[in-house]
Amino acid sequence: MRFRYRLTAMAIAAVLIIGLGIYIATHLQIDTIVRSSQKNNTASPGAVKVSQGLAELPDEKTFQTVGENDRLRLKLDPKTGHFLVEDKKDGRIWRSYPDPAQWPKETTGSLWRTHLRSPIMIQYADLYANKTQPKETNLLEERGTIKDLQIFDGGFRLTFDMPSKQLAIPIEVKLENDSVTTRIIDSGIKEGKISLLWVRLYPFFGAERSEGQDGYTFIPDGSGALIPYDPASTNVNRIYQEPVFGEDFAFKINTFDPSRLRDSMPVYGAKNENRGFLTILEDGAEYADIIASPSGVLSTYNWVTNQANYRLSYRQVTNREKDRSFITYSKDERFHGDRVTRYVMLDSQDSNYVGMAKRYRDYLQQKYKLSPIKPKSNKVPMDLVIVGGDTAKGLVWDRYVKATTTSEAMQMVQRLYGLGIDNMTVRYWGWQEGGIGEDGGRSKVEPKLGGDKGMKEFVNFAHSLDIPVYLRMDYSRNTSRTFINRIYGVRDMGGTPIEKLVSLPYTMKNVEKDIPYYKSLGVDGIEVYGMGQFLNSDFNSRYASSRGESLKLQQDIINKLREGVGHVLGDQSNFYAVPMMDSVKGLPESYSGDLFSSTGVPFAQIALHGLIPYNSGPSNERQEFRKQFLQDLEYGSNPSYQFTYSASEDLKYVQNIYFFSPAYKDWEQTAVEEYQKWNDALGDVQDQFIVNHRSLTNEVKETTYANGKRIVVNYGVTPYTYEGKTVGAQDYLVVKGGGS
Amino acid sequence: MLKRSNFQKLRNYIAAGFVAVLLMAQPMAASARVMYDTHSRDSQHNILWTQPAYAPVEVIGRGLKEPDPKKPEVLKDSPLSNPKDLFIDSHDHIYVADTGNNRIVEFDDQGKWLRYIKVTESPLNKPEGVYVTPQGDIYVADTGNKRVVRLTPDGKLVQKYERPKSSFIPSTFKYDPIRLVVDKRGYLYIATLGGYQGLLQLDPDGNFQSFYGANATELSALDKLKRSLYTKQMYANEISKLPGSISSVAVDKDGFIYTTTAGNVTNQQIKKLNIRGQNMLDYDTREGGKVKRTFGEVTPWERKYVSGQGYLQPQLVDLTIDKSGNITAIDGAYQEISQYDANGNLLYFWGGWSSDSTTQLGLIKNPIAIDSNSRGDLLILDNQEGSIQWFRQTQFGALVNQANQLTLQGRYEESEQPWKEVLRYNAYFTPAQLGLAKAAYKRGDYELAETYFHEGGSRKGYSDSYWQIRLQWFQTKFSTLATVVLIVVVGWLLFNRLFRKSKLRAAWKNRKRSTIPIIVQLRHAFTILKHPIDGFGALRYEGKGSYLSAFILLALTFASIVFSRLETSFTFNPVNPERFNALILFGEFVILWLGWVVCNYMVSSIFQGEGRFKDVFIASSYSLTPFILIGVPLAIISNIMTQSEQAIYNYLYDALIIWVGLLFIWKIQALQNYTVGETAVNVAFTAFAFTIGVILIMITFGLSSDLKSFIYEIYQEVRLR
Repeated sequence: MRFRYRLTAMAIAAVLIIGLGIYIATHLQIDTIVRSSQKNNTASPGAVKVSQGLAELPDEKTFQTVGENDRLRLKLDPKTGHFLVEDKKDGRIWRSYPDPAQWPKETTGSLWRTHLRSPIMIQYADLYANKTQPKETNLLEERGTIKDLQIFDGGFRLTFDMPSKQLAIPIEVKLENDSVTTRIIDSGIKEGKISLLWVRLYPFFGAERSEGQDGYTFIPDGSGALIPYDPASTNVNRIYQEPVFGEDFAFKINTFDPSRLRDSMPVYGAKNENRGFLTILEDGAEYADIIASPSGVLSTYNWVTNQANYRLSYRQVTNREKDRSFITYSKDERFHGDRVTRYVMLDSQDSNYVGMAKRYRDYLQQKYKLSPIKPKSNKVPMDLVIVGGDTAKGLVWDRYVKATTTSEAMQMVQRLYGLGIDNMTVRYWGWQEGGIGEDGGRSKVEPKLGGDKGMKEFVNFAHSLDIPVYLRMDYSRNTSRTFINRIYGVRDMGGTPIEKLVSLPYTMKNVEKDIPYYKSLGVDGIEVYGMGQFLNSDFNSRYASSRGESLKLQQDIINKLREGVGHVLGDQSNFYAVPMMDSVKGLPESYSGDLFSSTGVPFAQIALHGLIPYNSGPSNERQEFRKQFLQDLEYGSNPSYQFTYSASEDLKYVQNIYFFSPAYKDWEQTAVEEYQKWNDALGDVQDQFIVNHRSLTNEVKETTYANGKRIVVNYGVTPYTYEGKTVGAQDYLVVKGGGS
Repeated sequence: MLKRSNFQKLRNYIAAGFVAVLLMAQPMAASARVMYDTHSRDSQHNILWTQPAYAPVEVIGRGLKEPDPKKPEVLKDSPLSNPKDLFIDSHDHIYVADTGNNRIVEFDDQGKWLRYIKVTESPLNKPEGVYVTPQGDIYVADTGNKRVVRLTPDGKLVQKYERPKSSFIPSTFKYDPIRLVVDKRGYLYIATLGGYQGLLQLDPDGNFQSFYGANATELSALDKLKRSLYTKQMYANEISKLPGSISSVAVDKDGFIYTTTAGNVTNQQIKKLNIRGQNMLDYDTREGGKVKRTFGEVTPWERKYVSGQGYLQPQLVDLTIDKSGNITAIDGAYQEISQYDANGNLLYFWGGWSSDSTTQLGLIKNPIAIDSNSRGDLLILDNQEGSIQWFRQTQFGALVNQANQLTLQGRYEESEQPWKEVLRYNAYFTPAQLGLAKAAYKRGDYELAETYFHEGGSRKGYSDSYWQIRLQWFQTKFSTLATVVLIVVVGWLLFNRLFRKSKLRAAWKNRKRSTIPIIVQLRHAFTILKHPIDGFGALRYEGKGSYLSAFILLALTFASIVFSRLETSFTFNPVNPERFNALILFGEFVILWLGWVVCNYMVSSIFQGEGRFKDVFIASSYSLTPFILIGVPLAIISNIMTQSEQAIYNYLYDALIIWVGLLFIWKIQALQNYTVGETAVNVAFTAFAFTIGVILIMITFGLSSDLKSFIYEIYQEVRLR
């Protein structure tokens, strides 16, 4: 008894002593006392005073030509580090700094004025100080210098040296055909005590004021959106800033979902009258944010740029319940890799969003060696999603709820085929044992759906009608019982496992093991969910991968499936994965509705149409049935339906999905009717590029294909007259091309 | 990452965050057009997801300019500043009380700016409310000047309504008008800031008429207890309980006045008042009482918990009645917009939180006022952004509205087609199921009505349909039924008479009873039911039971409880068999049972009881037999009963509970050899011991997990800082 008391007493004493130690360590801040004496050096010296006026900007006479090809001339101002690009044909000029013609009207003062003039903006923080706030500064503000200037054929290299912050950032600018690339050379970045958080290189490339010109900024919001140059816009106070390829869960700070659509394309651009440019982020795109500011927010210029992130804040959880945490940055580790940005100077007549999209299409075609689709018939492929089954809470344990067995799937396909939908692709979803929600692979076909035998029969049947069958699998999560997320799962920067997300090298092994099974079933390919869609860093020490490495791993997994099974289909994929897919489902057709952007544009669709088939999601899950049908036609999307054989009521209590109305019996007639209209509109342009798209009024849009076919869609409530023909309210018009 | 509309589809209400996002991301493509979720509820209050009923069209009210007072030729920005009210007149012109700029702003029906109304002859000061009569007279709640002013259509001051003089107005009454409406007679109904007395009703000349539509004070059980126990003095010292104050007022085309109430109120947040000030939205119960409805919706995962106060209640700040009579209210706490039909039944609600760093179409930061125009469009004033979001009914919303109007007008047959179409778009939309059920009922297709009522979750409708089905069955089968009953009765009488003295009967009576111990032991249960005291005594002293028989009885009891949960008619069953989990029930059953047995045994042994643990265990199991004997037949019989027989059902159910209770008491008495008084004491102490036990276990668990996380935190601090 006495012994036990002593033990308790000792334990309490130990806890007290440890607690006291921690108190001292955290509250007395012994080391910060030492450091605070050195703290003063983080203050900025301030820019050299220059009186307001054109002298603030580089003098174009001092620029020297550093590169030249048959189209463009690249000129550098060695004094400021700025450059400009000249079109040799028509003399149009793109500058890496705000347009001087409008500079006298700029009223912004102090820090933002030097930002505008500076070739480089940075954010930094002294992470060794006790309480530190990230601060923004620029080359001029730091009285930095340009060092190690080297001019080589077609470009230049230089280092922005900011001794006051012990920072040096080397860059390279190069002329390549119709574009200029900038590169932040990772190996040369020097950091002292101060940690670099982000860099914006030439942030005001092509920045323009709104007055007196027709222009807009293009942002990759959803399918693409425009921010018009609006001289009257003075009451705005918001900017667009979104991470390319979506948020990294390993650095997620708040628990809310972002209210904007994911930015799935590493592109942006601007049209300034006839001087349009498209910017494509190449290396390091996954570490970039795209930022667009309408005039009137931070300055009177409209500008759009990318921000190369080197550190992100993250949440460090400190207790088991995970409800206590602090937000911090990593001191030692920063994101590595060169950051390459390609600025493409567009031709005068292509200086608009269609021109940008067309140029991006060329770029994708070249980079990924894509060739135009060879259509199977002049009917568009109907993307039929067949839902197998799911689980619901049961009396004792979860019960399986069957939605469509393989033999029912056969009947369904047969029936739709008989009704005229003879070009179809089938995606079987929830085919695996346990149904939807069983992710991670290593699954067999659910016996209640017919098992392997049933699936093989279904595949054979479908093949007899020339219908390919794909199975859907989510390899980004793992829900199997052998999966322990503390060992195999993705961990965030703070070390906490993220739900059931699985580390990519681990899931890769499952993919490899699954391939022979898929082949034995005879399916044509796999639809991947999650892969190519969510891009995360992984801090699980066993499988650690940076965001960039994760991107490569995802591409490897997709390639592996492609080589092993044959085809891979994507779902809401980012554009690092889209070119590897045989078709993409759920390509966004809308934008986030930010008030500064006036309209969404089919940028992604113009870039993809004719190269990779896409659809916007199942028609029977639409929010607005008619409107979205019209939009599908405007955007050139293929039809899609999501069906179960069983009645919708049967799925009322399932756990992992929520459909509005999946029963195929309720929809087959509508589906057939829609399919016929679809064929009439888009059947013969499956392999045609979109060559033009424009708004005739706010509510009437026109899409033109390479063979001359035009689709005119009227969303309005009043009819519209188009070349003598009437486009009814909430209706559309198909105008056949001239020659064909 | 994913859009909210993917997130919306999560069925398990996992706390927000990527957990939910990842799970949910599956179903929908990213091409949804609106940036918010639209929900409805089924009859059991579970959340349903629907297509948007309203979609944002545009944002108006931005980019306002005004001549610079110093240089009148220059126009300077003059955005809406802290605007508080919005009104749409009969020509669809939009009026905004631009409180921070001391003016009323008028826009035309397209949302183009027309004019500012400032009443230069007697300037407005922080006006918070505006109302325009069909004749064009403009009434402004000129809050800062503590008056209401009436203006001509061109903005000239006609009349001021200062604080009325009347002995009926308490001196503590603060006259700060914030919102108002004017009825056809020209009477004013003024909502005042914090005015819990109700709306101030003035006649056209500004004379006080009455306080109208005051709210009742909500009293909690604790308040009632205090009121009954406290002395008058003590009660006066309590913080006085005041009724919720009216936050806004609106009037519909029939002249009914509607109010919204904010504050910590749990029902009647919306009231529709008739001429006598009675609320028409309460609905009648079968027993003749009134049930107060609750308004203001929020999804369970968006609710905010405020420590010390519980969940934050939705704060309805304004409402509008559109051309179809639907009531749409806005909630300042959760930014939700809830729409109800004219009877107060929920149609849908949408909106919700949005990020501070964005301003997006359809997402409202701080909704403060709402009104609808002659097309049925909704315009919502955002106080924080100083702008007006314009919403228009979608294809789906219009279809639901068309069908619901037909149902409300009693044109059930016509409503059937549109409701079916609604159900085709959204298979789980409860109003559609109920609409179709009513149509089928009206047509006399009671089987179909019963199915739809069941799906729609209406017990009353289900019961009524079943009543009809049963009636029809009786009517068609009556002759057969009567014949069968007659034959059985006569047969039984004959049988008894013929065989009264026969050997067969004697043989049956003296048949050889089984002597297998377990069967004998189980048969003892019937003895206990007939002679409880003796029966329980026999358990203790004659060893008539065993652990085995006890376990068998326990298993049977549990099985019959599960059976009742699953098989009781929908009319009476409080649980949804589809969502019922037997494992949880098993856990509860085991804990309650073991807790009782252990506590009862311990308390009894302290109080000189004679029962051993085994006896308490076995006897307690035997006490549960009524669950098997009554529970199962009751569940079966409930399937041929309707709500008209509710009394019979309740009677049988109560009898079951009382019987079990009595058996327990007799059990203690017989087992422990107690008097009645001792038994009562024993029961009380057992209950007490049980409570203490539960508390102790909870404390132990709580403390040990706290200790664990304390050590973990120290470790993390050391490792990470």
